[in-house]
Amino acid sequence: MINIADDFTQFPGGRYKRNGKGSGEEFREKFLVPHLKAQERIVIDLDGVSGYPPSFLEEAFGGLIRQGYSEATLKQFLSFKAGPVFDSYIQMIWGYISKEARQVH
Amino acid sequence: MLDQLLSATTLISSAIGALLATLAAEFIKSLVRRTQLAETQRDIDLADILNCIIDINATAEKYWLKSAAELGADRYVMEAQIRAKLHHTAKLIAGLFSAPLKYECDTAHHKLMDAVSGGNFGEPDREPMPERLTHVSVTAMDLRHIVSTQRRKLKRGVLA
Repeated sequence: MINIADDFTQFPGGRYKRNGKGSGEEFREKFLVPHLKAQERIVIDLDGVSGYPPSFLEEAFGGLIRQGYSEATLKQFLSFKAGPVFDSYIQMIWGYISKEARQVH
Repeated sequence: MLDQLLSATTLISSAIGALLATLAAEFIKSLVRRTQLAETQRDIDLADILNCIIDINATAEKYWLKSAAELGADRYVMEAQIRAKLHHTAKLIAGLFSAPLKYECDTAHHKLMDAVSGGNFGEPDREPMPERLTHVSVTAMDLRHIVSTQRRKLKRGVLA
Protein backbone atom coordinates (compact mmCIF):
# COMPACT_ATOMS: atom_id res chain seq x y z
CA MET A 1 0.00 0.00 0.00
CA ILE A 2 1.32 3.42 -0.93
CA ASN A 3 -0.23 6.32 0.92
CA ILE A 4 0.62 9.40 -1.15
CA ALA A 5 0.17 11.85 1.75
CA ASP A 6 2.29 9.83 4.19
CA ASP A 7 4.86 8.24 1.88
CA PHE A 8 5.35 10.92 -0.76
CA THR A 9 3.87 14.37 -0.19
CA GLN A 10 0.82 16.13 1.20
CA PHE A 11 1.14 18.71 -1.56
CA PRO A 12 1.27 17.03 -4.98
CA GLY A 13 2.88 19.40 -7.44
CA GLY A 14 3.18 19.72 -11.17
CA ARG A 15 4.11 17.43 -14.00
CA TYR A 16 7.90 17.31 -14.09
CA LYS A 17 10.68 17.14 -11.51
CA ARG A 18 12.01 20.48 -12.77
CA ASN A 19 8.76 22.08 -11.52
CA GLY A 20 9.74 21.34 -7.95
CA LYS A 21 9.14 18.75 -5.27
CA GLY A 22 6.21 16.36 -5.37
CA SER A 23 5.84 16.11 -9.14
CA GLY A 24 3.98 13.38 -11.02
CA GLU A 25 7.21 12.34 -12.72
CA GLU A 26 8.97 11.89 -9.38
CA PHE A 27 6.07 9.86 -7.95
CA ARG A 28 5.99 7.60 -11.00
CA GLU A 29 9.73 6.95 -10.92
CA LYS A 30 10.03 6.50 -7.16
CA PHE A 31 6.90 4.55 -6.37
CA LEU A 32 5.11 3.13 -9.40
CA VAL A 33 7.81 1.93 -11.76
CA PRO A 34 9.80 -0.09 -9.16
CA HIS A 35 6.65 -2.01 -8.14
CA LEU A 36 5.59 -2.57 -11.73
CA LYS A 37 9.07 -3.80 -12.67
CA ALA A 38 8.88 -6.27 -9.78
CA GLN A 39 5.38 -7.23 -10.98
CA GLU A 40 3.89 -6.41 -7.58
CA ARG A 41 0.30 -5.36 -7.08
CA ILE A 42 0.04 -1.83 -5.68
CA VAL A 43 -2.80 -0.25 -3.75
CA ILE A 44 -2.53 3.54 -3.82
CA ASP A 45 -4.28 5.50 -1.10
CA LEU A 46 -5.24 8.91 -2.48
CA ASP A 47 -6.68 10.46 0.70
CA GLY A 48 -5.13 13.17 2.84
CA VAL A 49 -3.43 15.46 0.33
CA SER A 50 -4.31 19.05 -0.53
CA GLY A 51 -5.74 18.05 -3.92
CA TYR A 52 -4.32 16.66 -7.15
CA PRO A 53 -3.48 18.86 -10.12
CA PRO A 54 -4.40 17.08 -13.37
CA SER A 55 -0.83 17.53 -14.61
CA PHE A 56 0.43 15.50 -11.63
CA LEU A 57 -2.04 12.66 -12.23
CA GLU A 58 -1.54 12.62 -15.98
CA GLU A 59 2.22 12.46 -15.71
CA ALA A 60 2.27 9.89 -12.91
CA PHE A 61 -0.24 7.49 -14.44
CA GLY A 62 -0.63 8.44 -18.10
CA GLY A 63 3.18 8.56 -18.16
CA LEU A 64 3.26 4.81 -17.42
CA ILE A 65 1.67 4.16 -20.81
CA ARG A 66 4.30 6.37 -22.47
CA GLN A 67 6.92 4.29 -20.67
CA GLY A 68 5.62 1.14 -22.36
CA TYR A 69 3.17 -0.34 -19.84
CA SER A 70 -0.14 -1.45 -21.34
CA GLU A 71 -3.52 -0.44 -19.96
CA ALA A 72 -4.23 -4.13 -19.25
CA THR A 73 -1.02 -4.43 -17.18
CA LEU A 74 -1.92 -1.34 -15.19
CA LYS A 75 -5.43 -2.67 -14.55
CA GLN A 76 -3.84 -5.87 -13.31
CA PHE A 77 -1.35 -4.27 -10.93
CA LEU A 78 -2.82 -0.92 -9.88
CA SER A 79 -5.73 -0.32 -7.58
CA PHE A 80 -6.84 2.72 -5.63
CA LYS A 81 -8.35 3.51 -2.28
CA ALA A 82 -10.11 6.80 -1.56
CA GLY A 83 -12.86 8.34 0.53
CA PRO A 84 -15.82 10.27 -0.94
CA VAL A 85 -13.82 13.44 -1.66
CA PHE A 86 -10.96 11.72 -3.42
CA ASP A 87 -12.80 8.91 -5.20
CA SER A 88 -13.49 11.18 -8.16
CA TYR A 89 -9.72 11.32 -8.80
CA ILE A 90 -9.76 7.54 -9.44
CA GLN A 91 -12.09 8.16 -12.37
CA MET A 92 -9.69 10.85 -13.62
CA ILE A 93 -6.64 8.58 -13.35
CA TRP A 94 -8.21 5.76 -15.37
CA GLY A 95 -9.40 8.35 -17.86
CA TYR A 96 -5.82 9.58 -18.38
CA ILE A 97 -4.55 6.00 -18.72
CA SER A 98 -7.21 5.11 -21.29
CA LYS A 99 -6.72 8.34 -23.23
CA GLU A 100 -2.96 7.85 -23.41
CA ALA A 101 -3.38 4.18 -24.38
CA ARG A 102 -5.66 5.21 -27.26
CA GLN A 103 -3.11 7.76 -28.45
CA VAL A 104 -0.18 5.35 -28.24
CA HIS A 105 -1.89 2.48 -30.09
CA MET B 1 -67.85 12.56 46.01
CA LEU B 2 -68.22 10.71 42.70
CA ASP B 3 -68.81 14.01 40.92
CA GLN B 4 -65.62 15.44 42.39
CA LEU B 5 -63.67 12.33 41.33
CA LEU B 6 -65.06 12.57 37.78
CA SER B 7 -64.22 16.27 37.53
CA ALA B 8 -60.70 15.60 38.77
CA THR B 9 -60.26 12.78 36.23
CA THR B 10 -61.59 15.01 33.44
CA LEU B 11 -59.28 17.79 34.53
CA ILE B 12 -56.23 15.48 34.59
CA SER B 13 -57.17 13.92 31.23
CA SER B 14 -57.56 17.30 29.57
CA ALA B 15 -54.27 18.47 31.08
CA ILE B 16 -52.49 15.36 29.75
CA GLY B 17 -54.20 15.86 26.38
CA ALA B 18 -53.10 19.49 26.23
CA LEU B 19 -49.55 18.52 27.21
CA LEU B 20 -49.38 15.80 24.54
CA ALA B 21 -50.77 18.19 21.92
CA THR B 22 -48.16 20.80 22.83
CA LEU B 23 -45.37 18.21 22.76
CA ALA B 24 -46.52 16.89 19.37
CA ALA B 25 -46.70 20.43 17.97
CA GLU B 26 -43.20 21.21 19.26
CA PHE B 27 -41.88 17.92 17.87
CA ILE B 28 -43.30 18.69 14.42
CA LYS B 29 -41.93 22.26 14.62
CA SER B 30 -38.47 20.92 15.44
CA LEU B 31 -38.67 18.44 12.55
CA VAL B 32 -39.68 21.26 10.20
CA ARG B 33 -36.83 23.48 11.50
CA ARG B 34 -34.31 20.65 11.09
CA THR B 35 -35.42 19.90 7.54
CA GLN B 36 -35.41 23.61 6.64
CA LEU B 37 -31.92 23.99 8.10
CA ALA B 38 -30.68 21.04 6.02
CA GLU B 39 -32.17 22.63 2.89
CA THR B 40 -30.64 26.01 3.78
CA GLN B 41 -27.25 24.37 4.29
CA ARG B 42 -27.56 22.70 0.87
CA ASP B 43 -28.29 26.10 -0.68
CA ILE B 44 -25.28 27.62 1.12
CA ASP B 45 -23.04 24.79 -0.18
CA LEU B 46 -24.40 25.28 -3.69
CA ALA B 47 -23.72 29.03 -3.50
CA ASP B 48 -20.21 28.28 -2.21
CA ILE B 49 -19.57 25.94 -5.18
CA LEU B 50 -20.87 28.53 -7.66
CA ASN B 51 -18.71 31.27 -6.12
CA CYS B 52 -15.64 29.02 -6.17
CA ILE B 53 -16.19 28.34 -9.88
CA ILE B 54 -16.44 32.09 -10.58
CA ASP B 55 -13.21 32.69 -8.63
CA ILE B 56 -11.40 29.84 -10.39
CA ASN B 57 -12.47 31.19 -13.78
CA ALA B 58 -11.32 34.72 -12.88
CA THR B 59 -7.93 33.57 -11.58
CA ALA B 60 -7.42 31.25 -14.55
CA GLU B 61 -8.08 34.16 -16.95
CA LYS B 62 -5.26 36.16 -15.37
CA TYR B 63 -3.00 33.11 -15.14
CA TRP B 64 -3.20 31.86 -18.73
CA LEU B 65 -3.03 35.36 -20.22
CA LYS B 66 0.58 35.80 -19.14
CA SER B 67 3.67 33.62 -19.19
CA ALA B 68 5.20 32.18 -16.02
CA ALA B 69 8.05 34.67 -16.35
CA GLU B 70 5.68 37.64 -16.66
CA LEU B 71 3.71 36.58 -13.59
CA GLY B 72 6.84 36.17 -11.48
CA ALA B 73 6.17 35.11 -7.89
CA ASP B 74 2.44 35.86 -8.34
CA ARG B 75 2.15 32.63 -10.30
CA TYR B 76 2.70 30.61 -7.13
CA VAL B 77 -0.16 32.44 -5.43
CA MET B 78 -2.42 31.93 -8.43
CA GLU B 79 -1.53 28.26 -8.77
CA ALA B 80 -2.18 27.72 -5.05
CA GLN B 81 -5.54 29.54 -5.26
CA ILE B 82 -6.62 27.55 -8.29
CA ARG B 83 -5.60 24.21 -6.75
CA ALA B 84 -7.17 25.00 -3.38
CA LYS B 85 -10.46 26.16 -4.87
CA LEU B 86 -10.67 23.20 -7.24
CA HIS B 87 -10.14 20.85 -4.32
CA HIS B 88 -12.61 22.75 -2.14
CA THR B 89 -15.19 22.45 -4.91
CA ALA B 90 -14.56 18.69 -5.05
CA LYS B 91 -15.11 18.50 -1.28
CA LEU B 92 -18.36 20.47 -1.45
CA ILE B 93 -19.63 18.31 -4.31
CA ALA B 94 -18.82 15.17 -2.31
CA GLY B 95 -20.66 16.60 0.70
CA LEU B 96 -23.73 17.72 -1.22
CA PHE B 97 -24.29 14.88 -3.66
CA SER B 98 -24.09 11.12 -3.66
CA ALA B 99 -24.23 8.69 -6.57
CA PRO B 100 -25.67 8.93 -9.19
CA LEU B 101 -26.01 12.75 -8.99
CA LYS B 102 -22.37 13.14 -7.91
CA TYR B 103 -21.02 11.31 -10.95
CA GLU B 104 -22.17 13.98 -13.43
CA CYS B 105 -20.80 16.75 -11.20
CA ASP B 106 -17.46 14.94 -10.89
CA THR B 107 -17.20 14.51 -14.64
CA ALA B 108 -17.86 18.23 -15.22
CA HIS B 109 -15.46 19.10 -12.41
CA HIS B 110 -12.70 17.02 -14.04
CA LYS B 111 -13.22 18.89 -17.31
CA LEU B 112 -12.84 22.20 -15.49
CA MET B 113 -9.74 20.89 -13.71
CA ASP B 114 -8.19 19.85 -17.00
CA ALA B 115 -9.03 23.18 -18.61
CA VAL B 116 -7.75 25.29 -15.72
CA SER B 117 -4.85 23.29 -14.33
CA GLY B 118 -3.97 20.79 -17.04
CA GLY B 119 -1.42 21.08 -19.82
CA ASN B 120 1.71 22.88 -18.72
CA PHE B 121 0.12 24.44 -15.65
CA GLY B 122 2.83 25.04 -13.05
CA GLU B 123 5.73 24.80 -15.46
CA PRO B 124 8.37 27.50 -14.96
CA ASP B 125 8.84 28.06 -18.71
CA ARG B 126 5.12 28.17 -19.55
CA GLU B 127 4.11 30.61 -22.31
CA PRO B 128 0.81 32.55 -22.34
CA MET B 129 -2.13 30.54 -23.70
CA PRO B 130 -5.04 32.96 -24.27
CA GLU B 131 -6.64 30.43 -26.62
CA ARG B 132 -7.28 28.29 -23.54
CA LEU B 133 -9.63 30.84 -21.99
CA THR B 134 -12.71 29.90 -24.02
CA HIS B 135 -12.33 26.29 -22.90
CA VAL B 136 -11.92 27.43 -19.29
CA SER B 137 -15.08 29.56 -19.44
CA VAL B 138 -17.13 26.88 -21.20
CA THR B 139 -16.19 24.17 -18.69
CA ALA B 140 -16.81 26.58 -15.79
CA MET B 141 -20.30 27.43 -17.09
CA ASP B 142 -21.01 23.74 -17.72
CA LEU B 143 -20.10 22.85 -14.14
CA ARG B 144 -22.22 25.71 -12.76
CA HIS B 145 -25.18 24.52 -14.80
CA ILE B 146 -24.75 20.84 -13.89
CA VAL B 147 -24.31 21.51 -10.17
CA SER B 148 -27.41 23.73 -10.10
CA THR B 149 -29.41 21.12 -12.01
CA GLN B 150 -28.32 18.30 -9.71
CA ARG B 151 -29.19 20.45 -6.67
CA ARG B 152 -32.75 20.73 -7.94
CA LYS B 153 -32.85 16.94 -8.23
CA LEU B 154 -31.94 16.42 -4.56
CA LYS B 155 -34.91 15.00 -2.72
CA ARG B 156 -36.43 17.65 -0.44
CA GLY B 157 -37.76 16.71 2.98
CA VAL B 158 -41.57 16.56 3.15
CA LEU B 159 -41.58 19.15 5.94
CA ALA B 160 -39.20 21.60 4.24
